[in-house]
Amino acid sequence: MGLSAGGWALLLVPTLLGIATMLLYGFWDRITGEEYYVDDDILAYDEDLIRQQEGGK
Amino acid sequence: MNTEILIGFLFYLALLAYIGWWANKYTKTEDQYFVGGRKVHVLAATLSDKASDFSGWLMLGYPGSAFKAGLGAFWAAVGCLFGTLADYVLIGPRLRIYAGKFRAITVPDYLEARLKDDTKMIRILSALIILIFMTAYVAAQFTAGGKTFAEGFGISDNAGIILTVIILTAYVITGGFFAVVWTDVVQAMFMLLTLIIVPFLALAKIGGFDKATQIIAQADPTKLDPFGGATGWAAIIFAIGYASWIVGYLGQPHIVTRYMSVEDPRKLRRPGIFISGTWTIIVLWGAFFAGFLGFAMHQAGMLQVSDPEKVIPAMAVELMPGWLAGFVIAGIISAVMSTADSQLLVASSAIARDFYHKVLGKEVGKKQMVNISRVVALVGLWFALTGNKVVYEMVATAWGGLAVGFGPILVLSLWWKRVTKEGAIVGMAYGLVSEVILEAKVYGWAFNPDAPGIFGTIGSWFNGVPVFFINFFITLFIIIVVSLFTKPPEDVVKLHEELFKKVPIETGKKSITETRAKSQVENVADFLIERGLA
Repeated sequence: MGLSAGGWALLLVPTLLGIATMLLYGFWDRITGEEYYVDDDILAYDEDLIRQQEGGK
Repeated sequence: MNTEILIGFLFYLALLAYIGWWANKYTKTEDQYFVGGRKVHVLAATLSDKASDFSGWLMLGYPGSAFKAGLGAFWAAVGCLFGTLADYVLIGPRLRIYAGKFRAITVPDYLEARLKDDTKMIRILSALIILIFMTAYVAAQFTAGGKTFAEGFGISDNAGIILTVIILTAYVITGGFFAVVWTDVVQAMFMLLTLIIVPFLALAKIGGFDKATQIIAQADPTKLDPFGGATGWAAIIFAIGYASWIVGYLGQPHIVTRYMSVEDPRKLRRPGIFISGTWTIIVLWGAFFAGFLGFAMHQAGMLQVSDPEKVIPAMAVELMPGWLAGFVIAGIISAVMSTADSQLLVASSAIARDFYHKVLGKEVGKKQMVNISRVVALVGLWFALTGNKVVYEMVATAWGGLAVGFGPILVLSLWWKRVTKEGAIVGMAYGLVSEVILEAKVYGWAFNPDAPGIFGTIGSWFNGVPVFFINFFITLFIIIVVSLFTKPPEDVVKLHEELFKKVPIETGKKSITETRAKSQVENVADFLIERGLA
């Protein structure tokens, strides 16, 4: 019996589109040769914030 | 009660406790995990994000939906997959950059700093949205835990709910915080394995996919239709109804804060989206087919299911050796816990951090924090015991409130320099009030024609579409209109423009990330080597 063509399309088309989105976004910096500017200030460890935080998982 | 299931269950919990204790050496406090000093490894951050995202809904609510609706329920998987991807494309890297710049720990921290709100209104609204809808979300997790205990150990749903709350209280609230990032990672891997194994065991039991579809077609042919037998406009509404989860992803505080803690925003692009996207595809396929094939087993008389949402624990008990079924049940419970504890803490911190600390300027000690958590847990317990006990709907209600409250303003504040604090305040206030009224008083979680007056007419147009999906776009529109009538401070606009300028990618020399201190994963690896464990 199996699924109809429409049924298989529902399962496969969005999944393949999702994989294509992943690949495109994942390598977008390589494709364009550009990436967000990230400096030390943004990357800095925030040890001082650790002490301030009340909650957390 | 099946002793083998109990032994497997207790063994898994003990294993998880050991891993938590061991990993805790490197994550000294739960605070450290929450922001992780913004150095949580991308693998841990992404899998932890997914373990906290998918929980009772993935293991119970969604398979139950596939059991009831058949193939059409796959639209929900489509929504969740593209919602996950949208989080990485639209939210993750930009939010992490802003969080680093503003030293923001939570979503309200970020919004207040980004929109330069000195009125505290954004923080108060954020806290209210989190408090109301996160408590409802916690209740959904309690219900999921209760149902799992009920199916695995033959007790009532309410007894299971109370047992879940007791374990969660002992496990989290009283200070035994070992559910840190690495236990989330273990849980994510366990959920993955469960959702791969269960559908294959079901296929073997039924005798193949063709046989399964044949059984389903005999029972109800609309369950094999991609639109549940609907045509035309009704088919579109059917698909949107299920796929609407997509917009909700943009506004879940317990998910998007994971991106704020990752070590480097560029790693969310690669490998972040690959890890998260691949994991999501596999578990959604697994959860869908567990419910879909579970229905075939039920129709063929191979499986007794008292409640469609209990199909995975029922299949585990039916198809697996007792000790392994105990593992699966423990896996579901721990997945519920991993989400419930973080939601409980986000809800509690809305009171402790946003109201007391930031608005009233008072410090809250650990003991008071614990008491606040207990009150939130009790309110969640009351909702769970008195609610309709349908996990899918309970999650949709909470998901919707958070989606409408935070989604539109998060997206606009990250992508539109012109958004203003006035726009945010009006939009968030509308989102909060409208979601509470429409979901609690008018429609419930989805539009329907039974609502009174004009609402009934609107409900008939969008019958079955979750309220939050339409409300998300109304809130987005309101924020845009109010922002256009007001003016953002010039320094805010300038910072936004400067922050997201693109530069040529680094080549050759070592990056700052590579030359700085070791990450959590490297520290754990060093420990293993030092102790001769690897």
